[in-house]
Amino acid sequence: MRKSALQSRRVEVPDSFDAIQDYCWQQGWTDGLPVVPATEPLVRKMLQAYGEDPSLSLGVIQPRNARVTLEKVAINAVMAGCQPEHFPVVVAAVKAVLQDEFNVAGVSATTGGAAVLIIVNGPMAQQLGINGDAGCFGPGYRANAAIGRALRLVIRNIGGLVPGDMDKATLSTPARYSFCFAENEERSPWPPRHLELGYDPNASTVTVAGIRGVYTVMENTVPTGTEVLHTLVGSMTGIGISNYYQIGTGAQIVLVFCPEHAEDIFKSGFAKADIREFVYQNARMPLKQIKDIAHYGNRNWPRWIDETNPDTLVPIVRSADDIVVVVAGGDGRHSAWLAGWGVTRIVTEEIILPN
Amino acid sequence: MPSVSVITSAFTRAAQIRAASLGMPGVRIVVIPSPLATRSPVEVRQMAHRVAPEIVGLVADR
Repeated sequence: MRKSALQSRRVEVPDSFDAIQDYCWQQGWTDGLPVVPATEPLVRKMLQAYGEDPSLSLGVIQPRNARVTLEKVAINAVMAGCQPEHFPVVVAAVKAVLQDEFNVAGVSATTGGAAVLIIVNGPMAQQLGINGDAGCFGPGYRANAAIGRALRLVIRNIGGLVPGDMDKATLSTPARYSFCFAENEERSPWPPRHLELGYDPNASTVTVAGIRGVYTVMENTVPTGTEVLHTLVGSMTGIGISNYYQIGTGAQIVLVFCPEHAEDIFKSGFAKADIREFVYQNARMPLKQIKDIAHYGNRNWPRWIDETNPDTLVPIVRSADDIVVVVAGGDGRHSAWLAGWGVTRIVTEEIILPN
Repeated sequence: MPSVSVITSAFTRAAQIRAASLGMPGVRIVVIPSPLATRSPVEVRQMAHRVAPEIVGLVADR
């Protein structure tokens, strides 16, 4: 990379931890936690990991309608605590959320308080130490924490989605600090997501999803994978699950199977596509149970939902293709389904390494 | 084309920031009480009638 001039404004503050953190907080640049000061040497080091001109535009982020340059992303990656080798993953995630169909402004402004989840696939996950094993939804891994936080700071600091201003989440979610994990490809009986999508086995990808919530499912009693799926589906049918009202806008869901459940389901003869079809066919609620309650007033249903018949079964998604299946986590029998927010589509982007 | 944005009160500040970001700080905004989702169609119709004169006034006053 040639040593291009960085365009961002420089500020001088007293050289003390407190002064720097107080200044960043007062400017509204943090998620509440301390940030790494984005000094020019650290930003340049981050940019060198990508090898492109700092002024390279990745697109425009709403609602601030601001151009997202590599330099601005690098600044936020430094602040989030990323190491330079994390930067290509952050860039891919930013590119993914800037796709129109992801609707990052909607995901991040909604009263529903959706978080942006990053799922990493391919060899880079292991190379960078992105955890997909025990505790992968939680704290304890630098790459997971920093990459997810970097994306969040980009959305906040460049996109302008600041809580109370543009971000109108009623409750929000701790997943908005950071939510990034790898698919546990080593312990999955199925092809990983990037192979499902036709990427080369040596490629690495990020998948971003606007997630409203994490519903955990414990099943340590039934003996077959088919029964595990029935338990999962049972947890997906309940009053107040807003996905049932938003299938017209293409709301999607992510199923995260722990390795033990995945093994059982595999032994029962299910491929990932079969799981999607099973869930699509069985995670349904009769119209009479979800009518005139919960999100019914704002329902958005395709025409093929027969609203004249109280026994019409409304599926949780518009089609089986609106379900993403991955394996993650460690030992134990806890899986999860992640409810997608209503007006967003899941996007996958390849992680491009520097030349 | 003259236009007016109708928003609920929860999003007043968000609308102002968004308008300024797009270089239209003076954009015409009509604010209705939040929440909207819980109101019946009859209530929504009544609300529409209440704010219609304001909307028409802003559109006419280009």
